[in-house]
Amino acid sequence: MKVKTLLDTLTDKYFQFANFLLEDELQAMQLVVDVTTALAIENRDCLVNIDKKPYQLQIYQKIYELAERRANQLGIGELGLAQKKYPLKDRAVFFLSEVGDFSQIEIGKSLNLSDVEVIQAIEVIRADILYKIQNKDSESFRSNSQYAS
Amino acid sequence: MQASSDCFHAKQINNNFTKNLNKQFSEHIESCPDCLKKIKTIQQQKKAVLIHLDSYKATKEISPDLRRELREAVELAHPKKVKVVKKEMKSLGRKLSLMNKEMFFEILRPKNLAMLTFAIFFYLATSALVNK
Repeated sequence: MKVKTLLDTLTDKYFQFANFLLEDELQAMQLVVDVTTALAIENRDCLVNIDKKPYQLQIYQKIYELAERRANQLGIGELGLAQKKYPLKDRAVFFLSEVGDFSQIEIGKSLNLSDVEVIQAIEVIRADILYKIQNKDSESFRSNSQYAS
Repeated sequence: MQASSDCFHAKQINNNFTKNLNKQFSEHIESCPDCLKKIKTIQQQKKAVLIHLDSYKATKEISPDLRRELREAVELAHPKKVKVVKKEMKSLGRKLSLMNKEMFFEILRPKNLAMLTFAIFFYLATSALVNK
């Protein structure tokens, strides 16, 4: 695998995952860099075969594990996630299902969750995001109609 | 955003409907307006969610820094092979040129010059004796 393709994938997909977990660009950036460094030293196969699904899942898992540790250390777990309502694990499940396109069984196995927990996490977060999108749309519609009148 | 429907199958359709689709069900879907409506709604929702998730991608401001740091992380543990080979070749070339110089100065030493002269005379003398 070419370095450029590897960097594109890491910058695009894995940063998005880290940022979705922590909702902090700088923390997400540091997280992806740290995981990449660790993989380059310990498990280079993951980076070389980044286009293959089992390795992708391993990288996502590493990012999630480190994110969980960081969140606890920095207090993001208590502060940020309390506002965000859902735990880090549920966010990881949702992202892996929607963007990563992994099956519920694969996600459950890698994050040590039952099928019911996986489905519940996906449905709850999807409903919340759709609710937010709907609210945003109606707000922008209202503000546009105010300007028009 | 949920589509209300009277069709029993439409109520069964959820976000994973494509994964659990059997042939009989798919034939029904093609002709059922309720099911088609439900599928369309789900597809629209999926699209909206993906657009929302796109907002978590690296922005133009952060992307160059992130790429630079990632490149360093990848190359720190595994420097490029080309660079290593180039470095090795350079040091080998330097060693060879040093050896050449040393050889040249070694020959110019009086002791070695005397040995060389003796060897030449010995060769000439023996070849003259053999050719007689």
